[in-house]
Amino acid sequence: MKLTGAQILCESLVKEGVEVIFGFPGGAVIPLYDTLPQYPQLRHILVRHEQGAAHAADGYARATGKVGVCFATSGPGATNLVTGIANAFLDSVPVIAVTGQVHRDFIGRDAFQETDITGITLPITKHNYLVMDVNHLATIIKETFHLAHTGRPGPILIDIPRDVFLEQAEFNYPEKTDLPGYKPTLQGHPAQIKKAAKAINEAKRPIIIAGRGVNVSKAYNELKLLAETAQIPVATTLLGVGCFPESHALSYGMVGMHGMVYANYAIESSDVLIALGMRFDDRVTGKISAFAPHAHIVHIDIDPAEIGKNVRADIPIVGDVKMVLQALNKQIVPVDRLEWVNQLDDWRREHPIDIRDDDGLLPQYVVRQIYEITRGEAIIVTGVGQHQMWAAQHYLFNKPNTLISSGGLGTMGFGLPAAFGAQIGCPDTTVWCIDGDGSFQMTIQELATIVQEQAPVKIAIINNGYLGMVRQWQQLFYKARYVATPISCPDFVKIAEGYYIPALRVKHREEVAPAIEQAMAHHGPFLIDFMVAPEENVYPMIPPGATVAEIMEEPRQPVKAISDSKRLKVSNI
Amino acid sequence: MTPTKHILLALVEDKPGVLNRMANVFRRRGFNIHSVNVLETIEAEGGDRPGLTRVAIVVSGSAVILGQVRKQLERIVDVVKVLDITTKDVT
Ligand SMILES: Cc1ncc(C[n+]2csc(CCOP(=O)(O)OP(=O)(O)O)c2C)c(N)n1
Ligand SMILES: [Mg+2]
Repeated sequence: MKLTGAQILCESLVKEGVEVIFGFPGGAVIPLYDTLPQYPQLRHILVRHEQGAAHAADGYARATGKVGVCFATSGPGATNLVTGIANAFLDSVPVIAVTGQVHRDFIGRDAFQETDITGITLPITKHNYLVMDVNHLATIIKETFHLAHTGRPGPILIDIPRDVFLEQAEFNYPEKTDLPGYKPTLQGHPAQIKKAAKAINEAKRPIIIAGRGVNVSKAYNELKLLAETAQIPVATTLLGVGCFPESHALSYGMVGMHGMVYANYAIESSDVLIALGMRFDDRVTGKISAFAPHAHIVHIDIDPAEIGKNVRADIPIVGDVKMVLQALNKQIVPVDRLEWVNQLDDWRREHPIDIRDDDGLLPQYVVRQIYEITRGEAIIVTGVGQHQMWAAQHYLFNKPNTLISSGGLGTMGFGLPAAFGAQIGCPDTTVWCIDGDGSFQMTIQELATIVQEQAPVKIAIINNGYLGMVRQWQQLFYKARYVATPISCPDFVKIAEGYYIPALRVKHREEVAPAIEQAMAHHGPFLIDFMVAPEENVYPMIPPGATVAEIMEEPRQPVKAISDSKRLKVSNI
Repeated sequence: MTPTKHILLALVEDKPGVLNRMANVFRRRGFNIHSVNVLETIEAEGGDRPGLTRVAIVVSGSAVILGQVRKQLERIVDVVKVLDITTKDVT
């Protein structure tokens, strides 16, 4: 039977098990949208800005492990997706973006709403396609899904000219793909695995750094087995948070710039470092030449191009983390490493990540209260900045994929749409968006989407009146010249009410728990504007490009109470 | 680090944009492209699969990151294989 291009796309999405599409229509995709009602299995969610569609698909994919799908029209619709696609690329998230393109006859002639979106997204997609023949469409979609979620996942863009949506072709969805240039290595090389096992068995001070690759390959049990059998302390990257239960005795939290002192000390002192599905980002390593100076590095990753990119790997193993660990674990000898583990525990006691007693409203305290009241069961989605680090540090994540945060790109504005996407994917889980007052204002319009779809996202704005993370750098490294970082905010409570979302403002410590409880008791979305101490800093901190020796810890001095006068008000500018 | 000359031979799928994708990797890693030779396409047997094309590229850049560049080229879906065929007498 012959189908139109639009029907072929929809049929294929159904075959791939897609249930939700985040999108925004326009001229080039009207034929596609016109076809959607024929496929009631495909729930289309109208966002308020295409960046929101890409982030929502990203949040959905991270929370569910499925592929996230978004649609946009040609030109500005497609370019609005760009930040979201780049975000998914840097964090290896399987997102498929379908964009409309102008009529084939007009391509390359600067037609109305024409942009070369495959050219633009070339360096920020795992792969992309411009479909010039409707007969190729089904094969391309098949390839797209295969590429998006196998190997190292990543975003794929399919650009479809308007007339290709309308043209007809015989529909045969291929069973498999034929991509001679794409054959991810899954099984690690046995000789390398043997070497790694030997190094681990002989290690005195081993440490594991687990990254997002553990989540992607679902290697949770294998990681646990390795850590417990060989008594190896486990630290994670920001994107690995939760892949190993943070309440486990061998868990030493997050590493890197705002990681735990003891985790960073452990890396510094380790003799064997086992890097699992992580890529030695500079926020993790600090000064590369001083990173893990005594360690033999075992680097396990599915992407060969990551091996040796940032840090030398003494024993590289290319493969799927889960499969490699299954093979590796068979050769691991159980040991006791009391001395080493005790050393880490001593460091943990000496440099705890606690919250000081303070009469003011501390952002860390807000995060901790959300943790207590949600009993650690919520999915936490963040914006980018100080609040993101406090969320990662002070919420205890015991389940994988429960911290959803923009790591590689550090995209302010990710929080709200990604939280929405996560909530759509996990309707029975509590989703909290812990956002900054700056980040929130970047994609605030998605409040309308949340309401239209009745997604019960709970929003906590950590309102410090600043682009806080930048302010912190200015304070510490630029003599406290706060250029362009004081930020005024609208009345978020009124804004929320304008969107029919109930909201509260919290100024005092004792109001925190009742407000969170009220939000939890409410069935729909809820917003709380937490007016926190404006000049609180994130500690510990390893300054950019510095070493573990230069860790800055929280100065143990009383901190100023909240001063409302410090806040920039819309009314006085 | 002084840039040195290298010759890479790539086997790629004959699809639009593949040279563009490769050039992008060289650009990002600061390599200068001296010449690109696209050799005749080996037609695929049957079906409408694109054939395979060999591309010989002479570049100059850091020898240290050349291995990395090769792997980044091989990461491109349309690129099947990349060989470093530089010999000592190439300058
Ligand atoms: C889109 C974007 N623009 C700029 C930045 C740079 N930046 C990083 S953190 C930050 C401050 C974020 O402010 P806010 O959301 O209020 O969070 P806070 O640090 O105050 O908790 C800025 C401007 C960014 N990460 N993303
Ligand atoms: Mg702020």
